[in-house]
Amino acid sequence: MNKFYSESLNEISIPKRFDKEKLHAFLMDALKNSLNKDEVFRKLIINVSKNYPRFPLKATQASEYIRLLKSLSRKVAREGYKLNEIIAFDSYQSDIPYIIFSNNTLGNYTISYFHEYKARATGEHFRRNYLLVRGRPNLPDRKRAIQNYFQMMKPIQKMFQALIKSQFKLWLLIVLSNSESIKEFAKGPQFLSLKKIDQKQFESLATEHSEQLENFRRELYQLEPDLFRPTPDSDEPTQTMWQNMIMLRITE
Amino acid sequence: MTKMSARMYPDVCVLLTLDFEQTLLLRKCTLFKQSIQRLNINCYLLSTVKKIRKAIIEEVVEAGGNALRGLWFHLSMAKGAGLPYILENAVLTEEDLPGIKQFFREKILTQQRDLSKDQIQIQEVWAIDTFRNMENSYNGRVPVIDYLKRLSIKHNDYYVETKNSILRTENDLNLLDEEPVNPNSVQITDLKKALNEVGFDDDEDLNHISCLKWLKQNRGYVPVFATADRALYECKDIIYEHTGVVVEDALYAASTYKSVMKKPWPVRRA
Repeated sequence: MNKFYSESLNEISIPKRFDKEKLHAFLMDALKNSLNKDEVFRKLIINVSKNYPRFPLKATQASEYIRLLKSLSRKVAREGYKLNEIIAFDSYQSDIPYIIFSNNTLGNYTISYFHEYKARATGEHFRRNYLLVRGRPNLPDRKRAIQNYFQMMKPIQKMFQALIKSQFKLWLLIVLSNSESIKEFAKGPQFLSLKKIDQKQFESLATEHSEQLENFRRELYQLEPDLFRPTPDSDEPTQTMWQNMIMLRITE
Repeated sequence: MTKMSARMYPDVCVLLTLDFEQTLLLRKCTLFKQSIQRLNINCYLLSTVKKIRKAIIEEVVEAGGNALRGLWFHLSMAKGAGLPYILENAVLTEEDLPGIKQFFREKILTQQRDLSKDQIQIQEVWAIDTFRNMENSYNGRVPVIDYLKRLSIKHNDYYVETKNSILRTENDLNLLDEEPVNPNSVQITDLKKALNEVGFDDDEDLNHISCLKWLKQNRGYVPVFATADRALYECKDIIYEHTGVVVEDALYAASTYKSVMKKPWPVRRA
């Protein structure tokens, strides 16, 4: 996260009242504090790191890694839901276009889809190429299986990193522009005003986020369409809405 | 099975709404989907239409979001207190419902576009529905902030489901992106005039037809505009007369396309 925060801060122009180094230190401290408060999550992260696929990888370690990724995926989904509740509340106390908040929610759902995909794809890959290989373990084959796993994950992982960075940068710009001090930034400003944000930068980051999100979702859909399944039932007003959209007029 | 060389451009307006339409239209779209899959026809999504569709969805989200912000303000005022009071103590009861109803009615009246009016009507239903769902858990005294939060979550979830639905539909139909076409690059003034005379003025459809005409003229494609929109379908003769673009009901579009393809057509230009 150290590098992630540095890169994000360097890629945006922050208000002059903030010092990038202090802000970076604050973000790192906040992360450490939140991990310390959440013992279960902290252990989960440590264990994922411990069981990270490296050759030679024991079968038990591979199984443990799959199990941990599943737990992580569930945790990310729960945290995403909490974040979406915060976004829902923030959206009321703001005059920033509502679509920014909706895209943020969409981003959080997509992040949780990706973790679910990663857990599923990892499980499938290691079961087929590692755990179910019979007979005496063929070391070159196992080594290749690990290499193939990383090759398989690399493109989507790269897109995912780009997505979360663009989402973070946009959020950082909005909140920093509306905060007078690090203290206010930490607490969260009372009101998120569009006027306080540098318009050019805001539009550029919002477009970047929207495009990254769209591209990532299309890619992820190709890999695991099941994640984008419909909700059990759409209610009546929603159905009416779509019925009306058929008869849509662009301009009246 | 070899793919046909010519292409069909479906009416995205219909296709993107597959998951939410009335049963009748949903069935129609499913039949359309099955037909094109059976015939192995390539379907293309015009980039112009894609952009317009995105803009519409965002506009609907914006209209709904602004209505929610208005409701927040309305409830703050109705409770006769500022933000801190609302956050900590305010509750909604049965007595607040007429005020909420009145707020939405006034909001609908201020909207310029039908689509935004529709969205706010939906929010009104959600507002009442959410209150009814919450009132039992809170003994009829629903905390305002929890209530508003739930409405906003519902609105954002609705946006997520819309975006997921678009992906599913595009994938189901195996839609491919076509080269961008500027709808203004072809003159369709005569067509617009003729359609206006019969009361048809849907700009999205007109832009779509204009793009199809350009593709027919410049790329030699054989476009069939499949639609479930009755109003558009009834103008099919006028549209064909002015542009050569075939408009067909989604139910029969694939078979019409097939019969059109049996006729000898000039070789496609490079």
